Amino acid sequence: MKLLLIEDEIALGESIVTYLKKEGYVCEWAKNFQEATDKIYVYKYDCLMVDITIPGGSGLQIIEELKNQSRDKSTKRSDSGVIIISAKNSLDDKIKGLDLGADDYLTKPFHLSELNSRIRSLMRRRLNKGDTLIEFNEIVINPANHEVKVKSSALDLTAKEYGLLLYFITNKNRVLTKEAIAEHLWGDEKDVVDSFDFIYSHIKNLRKKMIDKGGEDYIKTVYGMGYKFGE
Amino acid sequence: MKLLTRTTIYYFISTLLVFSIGTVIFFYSLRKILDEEVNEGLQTKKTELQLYFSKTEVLPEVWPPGTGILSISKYRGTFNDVNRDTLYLNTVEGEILPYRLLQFSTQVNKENYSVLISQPLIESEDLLEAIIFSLIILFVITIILMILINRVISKKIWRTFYETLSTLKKFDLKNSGSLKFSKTGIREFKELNEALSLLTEKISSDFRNMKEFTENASHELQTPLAVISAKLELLIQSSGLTEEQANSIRVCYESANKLAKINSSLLLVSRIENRQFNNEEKTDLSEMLQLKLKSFSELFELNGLKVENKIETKNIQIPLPAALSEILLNNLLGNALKHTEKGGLVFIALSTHKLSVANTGKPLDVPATEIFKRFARSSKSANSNGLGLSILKKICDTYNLKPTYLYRDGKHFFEVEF
Repeated sequence: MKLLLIEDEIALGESIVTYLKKEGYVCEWAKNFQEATDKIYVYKYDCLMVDITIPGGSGLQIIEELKNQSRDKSTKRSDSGVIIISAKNSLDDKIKGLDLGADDYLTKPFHLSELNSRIRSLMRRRLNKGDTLIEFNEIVINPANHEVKVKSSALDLTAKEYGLLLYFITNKNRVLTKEAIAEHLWGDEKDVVDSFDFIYSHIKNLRKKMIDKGGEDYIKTVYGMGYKFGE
Repeated sequence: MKLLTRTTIYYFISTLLVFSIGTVIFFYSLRKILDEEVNEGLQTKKTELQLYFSKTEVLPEVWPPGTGILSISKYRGTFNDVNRDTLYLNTVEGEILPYRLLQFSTQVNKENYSVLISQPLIESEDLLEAIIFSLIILFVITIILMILINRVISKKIWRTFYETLSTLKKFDLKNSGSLKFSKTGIREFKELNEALSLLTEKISSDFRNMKEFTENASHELQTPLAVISAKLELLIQSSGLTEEQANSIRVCYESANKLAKINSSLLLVSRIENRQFNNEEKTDLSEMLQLKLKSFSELFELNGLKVENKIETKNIQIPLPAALSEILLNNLLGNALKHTEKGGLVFIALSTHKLSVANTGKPLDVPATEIFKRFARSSKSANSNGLGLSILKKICDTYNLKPTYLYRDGKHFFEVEF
């Protein structure tokens, strides 16, 4: 899968590219408006991560350009997914971006695991229309109807437990900090739940439910850091 | 007290004083003049009589009326004129009236006589009455005129001042720039208006600068914060960290997250202050509250809290944008969630004009008046940045809602009236 990051902040760009490459993506990086427009004319990307304020122009213009290209039938380009990453948590920018055809909006600072999860979910929605099963060993998730099976028997999960499991599998073999999990599960309400006992309770319940169905315990506590899902 | 009333009172008092002193002076000087006039009159009569006696050399039997002679009697030797005042019954008026008498000696046919003549005096009382009466009339006329003139003056001259005042009253730091005052020809008011224009312009620009600074500073902080947390997250993923290193990274990561939260809260405050929301929007609070309660129910349950709610009416529209209503509810419910001990109770009540969230708990260790202030928090709550309630207050202040806090019967009550 090929991604394009449009971001002028070098240190941040480096981190994002490093993280996503480890996830197995091909990730290119444009540091200004000109570079970005050149790249989208020449190559086709599955997903773009666009910073709105970049030197030489606005990220919104790039999104507009991209959408114009895909509307133009002669170029035979299929639509790319777009995630806006912006320092401005402004509702106007958000609405404008989404109106132009962006799929998601992340406000800086964000967790890299969150960005990864958003890309995965966007890709699932766009490429497979959400009807492919996500499998991890004995665990099978059907994102279309939020059904989870462990060794073929259905797992009864709450909405938060489902989100947690999906987040874990999406970011498998990664250390997920409690802060990143909290933000992923509660979004705008994360300020409310900054006492992380909640996450502990959710993880405890999820773990118990999976073991009860004969599943293995994949959730490992990484001391002081968070949790890791994997064999 | 109005300026006009006060000046009128001062004018009234000073005029009264002037008129009272005037009355006294007037009374004494008039009486002196009249007194001299009487004396002169008596002297004239005396001269006339002496002239008459020296011509006729005979005392007439009957004194014609009007000469004022009371008696003529023989007298041994001559004497100087004697003046004295006395009272007589005036037969015509039937009243006792004051008279001035003059006794002088004269010679008729080489014989000495003493002659007593009289002249009626004007009563002091009458005089005083007349003076006071006329001065009171004068006084009343003066006061009436003064009030009328004052009113005209205040309407014409002070008009600019009142216009300035009403312009100033409309001054709103959040909306207006410098104030524009109406033109005036009066120097003092012109100077006042100029000074006020300068002042309000300075205040407005300072306020704008301050707001811009907060906003810019917060925005500028976002990117480095993003870099820090991204780098730390990469570091966390790396294998082979010692426990010491892992601990340091964790502390840095937590601090960076805390900083990011404070920063985004400050940004939110400045956005509320700048009213950067769709201000026309209304929210159905009962519907939103139901939704929020649903998403919070899990959290309440996990924390071992019991929730009782009483949402009275459906469709309660409040004049607050949805994004802010959500923050308001998040902060109120989150506050109850954070500060209620395990096994505690949370009460939520919504009526047409009031939202009330109460929770059981020990009394605060900060004064109740401080509770809505920035960074005011109980020393023990480490997982709160002390901005939640100040954001709530800011939202309420900006959109004219009334937040209150009180502690009663072992419960903390947070209420918002709308």
